[in-house]
Amino acid sequence: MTSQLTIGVIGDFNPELESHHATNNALQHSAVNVGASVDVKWLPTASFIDLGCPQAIQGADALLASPGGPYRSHRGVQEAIRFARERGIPFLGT
Amino acid sequence: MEATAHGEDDPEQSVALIAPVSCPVPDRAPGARALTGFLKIHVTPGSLAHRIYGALAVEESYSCNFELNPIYESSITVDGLEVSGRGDNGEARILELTGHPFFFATLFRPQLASSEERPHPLITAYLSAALKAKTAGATLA
Repeated sequence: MTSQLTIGVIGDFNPELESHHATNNALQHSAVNVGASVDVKWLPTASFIDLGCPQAIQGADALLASPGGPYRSHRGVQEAIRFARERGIPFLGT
Repeated sequence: MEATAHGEDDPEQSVALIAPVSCPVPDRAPGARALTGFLKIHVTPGSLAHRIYGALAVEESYSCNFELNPIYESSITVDGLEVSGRGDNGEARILELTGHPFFFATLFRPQLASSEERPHPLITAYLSAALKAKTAGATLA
């Protein structure tokens, strides 16, 4: 049985940024390695302020901070990272 | 901590926590960021980074103009946050939090070095930790 994971990427997806496509691709490369089916959701940085962290993460199992700053909401990113830290949510900042 | 300013958002901030890179790569292409291309990282023995890489010296792909201001290193490396990878001049390049299922931050971009044939070990370790946390019931319900 393949496990299912939802990865929430803290960031404002920009199709013009190679690093954003690379983020999506790298998660799929590693998904094969761990035998999981990975669904990637981009979570807008401002949503962590507007909706609050519990809503903004949209059920993600782990959070990843996207490359390619400056972020639309730097404070939103800080809140998201704090949430991951305090709630024991796996986090990778790139 | 009060000083959480990022030099990218506030260039006038003289004591930014995240400051412009101190030792830019010399002879880089015009327009390239201060840290660009593959650069060496010295991994801290016994760290999670060491276990993941299985090596004490690695090379990673950068595209970056900012880094942790070294004057704040002692302030942030409390409560389990540790520098587990450094540049040639001791600059912080990897941060990890002990006592957390997986909390890792890098100055480089592991995703740039990933391929179908060679998935990046750090991203694979991150997904493994996410699976483990999910199985343990630590989902974000």
